[in-house]
Amino acid sequence: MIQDQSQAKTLLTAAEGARERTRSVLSTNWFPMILFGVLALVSIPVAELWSGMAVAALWLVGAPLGTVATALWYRSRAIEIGVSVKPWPYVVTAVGIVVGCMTTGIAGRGGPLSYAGPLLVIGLGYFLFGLLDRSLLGSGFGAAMATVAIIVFAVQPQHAYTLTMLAFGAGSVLLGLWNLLQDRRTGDVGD
Amino acid sequence: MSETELHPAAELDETVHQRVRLGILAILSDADRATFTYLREALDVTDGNLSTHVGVLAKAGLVTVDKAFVDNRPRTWVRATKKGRSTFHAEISALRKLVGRYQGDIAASR
Repeated sequence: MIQDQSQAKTLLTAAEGARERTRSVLSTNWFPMILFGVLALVSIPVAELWSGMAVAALWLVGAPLGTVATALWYRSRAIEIGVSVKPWPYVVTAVGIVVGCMTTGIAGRGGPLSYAGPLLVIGLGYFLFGLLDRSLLGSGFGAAMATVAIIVFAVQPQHAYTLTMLAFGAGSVLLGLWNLLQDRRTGDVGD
Repeated sequence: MSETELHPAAELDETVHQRVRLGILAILSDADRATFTYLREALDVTDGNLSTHVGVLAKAGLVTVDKAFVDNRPRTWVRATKKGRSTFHAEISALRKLVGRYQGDIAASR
């Protein structure tokens, strides 16, 4: 019986190891993190130099295009590495973010909801992505963005859009670069 | 332990109580699907060995196998069925119970 139990421990360790490695490969998200982070940073000078309409146009075009580019990236990555994540929870969350941002952005036109609302939706969306990826860093970033959105809505500081997009854009790019570095390291080990 | 309570070993599933087959289901429990190549490299087995184990799982209805062409190259994708996922979770739960009992035995003997 002791032999059975010792074998059980070996099997359990091997299965949990295989599962952990696959989770690590599947939680790679540097492409959308960098893409949307850069889009947020690009929107700052647009807001400062042009108008709210120009920012709205940038996001109306950029967000759906970015979502499609992200879907294509995940698809091509799955074919390249040979393993894919269950897509529907991610698709539903991404569509929820795009629709939520547009709704709060349009509904709050001219007021604090126009910039705090989308950031709150993005924060909650990233929090969900973090949960799906089992990433403490990802869900922590999402929660931080949602908190920033609530604070900005309450305080309504000057240049609120610039501040919120700077926090989101810089954070997203940095997390994306960190994830890219991790991905390259894992790839090296796999090679 | 009461007389009617079964030993955790009785809950183990013969089909999946094997390193490669449990490994395949472990990978597929979190992934939507995985290629033969990914499974072979992740589990460090030969093509023939993997093929045999995937065949056993497919016969038991725990995985499905689909062949598709990507860039004119054949790809074999393996996916866990609902039954496969629940069997995997039941097996992991039984293994954890067994290991817990083993550690309890060791502690008691000290």
